Amino acid sequence: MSATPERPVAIVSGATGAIGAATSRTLVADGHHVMIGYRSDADAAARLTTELAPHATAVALDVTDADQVDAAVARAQELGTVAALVNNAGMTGDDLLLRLEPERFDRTIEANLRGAYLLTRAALRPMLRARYGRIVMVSSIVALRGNAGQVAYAAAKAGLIGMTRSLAREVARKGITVNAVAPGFVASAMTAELSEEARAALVAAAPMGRAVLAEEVAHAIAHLASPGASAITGVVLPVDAGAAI
Amino acid sequence: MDDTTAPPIGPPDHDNRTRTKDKEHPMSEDLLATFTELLTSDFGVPADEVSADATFEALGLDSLDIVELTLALEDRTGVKLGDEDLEQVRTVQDAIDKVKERQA
Repeated sequence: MSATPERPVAIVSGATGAIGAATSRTLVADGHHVMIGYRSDADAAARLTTELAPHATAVALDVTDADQVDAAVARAQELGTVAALVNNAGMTGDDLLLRLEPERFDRTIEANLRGAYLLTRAALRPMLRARYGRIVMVSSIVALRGNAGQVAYAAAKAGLIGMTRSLAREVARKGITVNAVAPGFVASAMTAELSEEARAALVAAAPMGRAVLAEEVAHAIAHLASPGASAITGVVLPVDAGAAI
Repeated sequence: MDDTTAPPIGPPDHDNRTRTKDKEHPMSEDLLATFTELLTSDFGVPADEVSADATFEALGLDSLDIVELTLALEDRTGVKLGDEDLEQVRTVQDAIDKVKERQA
């Protein structure tokens, strides 16, 4: 399946998760061809691709695998102009610091932070060639506020913010913007792994007193990924029902 | 998002620079001309300032510009310069020499 020629390509990692799928749908509605990057859930990727046909292409994309990352970006370039990248892939690795094994800490950093570095590094080259690009990191409210039991995840997501601001400075003159969203508590398969207390604390922290919908995060991402957001770079946009107030 | 007010998606149309993707390898004497053309068209460097001895710094290029230049060069010549090559490149002649090395 090939991209409709006039559609720029948006790469979404972790596209089968709640935020990733909602973002893919919104980006297609906004006129992109979306590369549905998935790590292990090929069936979900196939379903989403079918739903969004002909404007989506599923690609195996384990962001911890540099070869797979490079192959995915090469495939994206075959589909069209790589205009947007959404670094959404992530995983939790939660435990109290004193019980958090180094290996688990490393895996969490690798999936959430190093993976974004690898994918951004690969996608930046075609963007630099075109002197146009929109890069959006999916950080988290826990990067801004911290959350007991999420030391590794929060450190990785805070690392994404540092990466966002630094890269935004590096490529600002090249027509490439780099921004982050910091979602609050979104009900998803990933957050289902949180303890009841952790979820309740995240909801209670929001003045709106509710969880955030994946679609609400998707709309924020889609705006930052749009040409109209051309003067917005280095920003961390909370999408958190007011929790960051 | 409201489709009626959304700006057009993708790279702006006015950025219509063309970078050919032919993989022909120019003769080494053509490389200076290729660099001159790229530096002029893509980086706004006056052609009369480009010489083999000119440093990229003097031409107003920073490290990211040099990476961009090598990507454009790759499109023109098919020669891919790695990060380790770029670390040693200061002048246009340095870059020409690296391309020749890779072509050899």
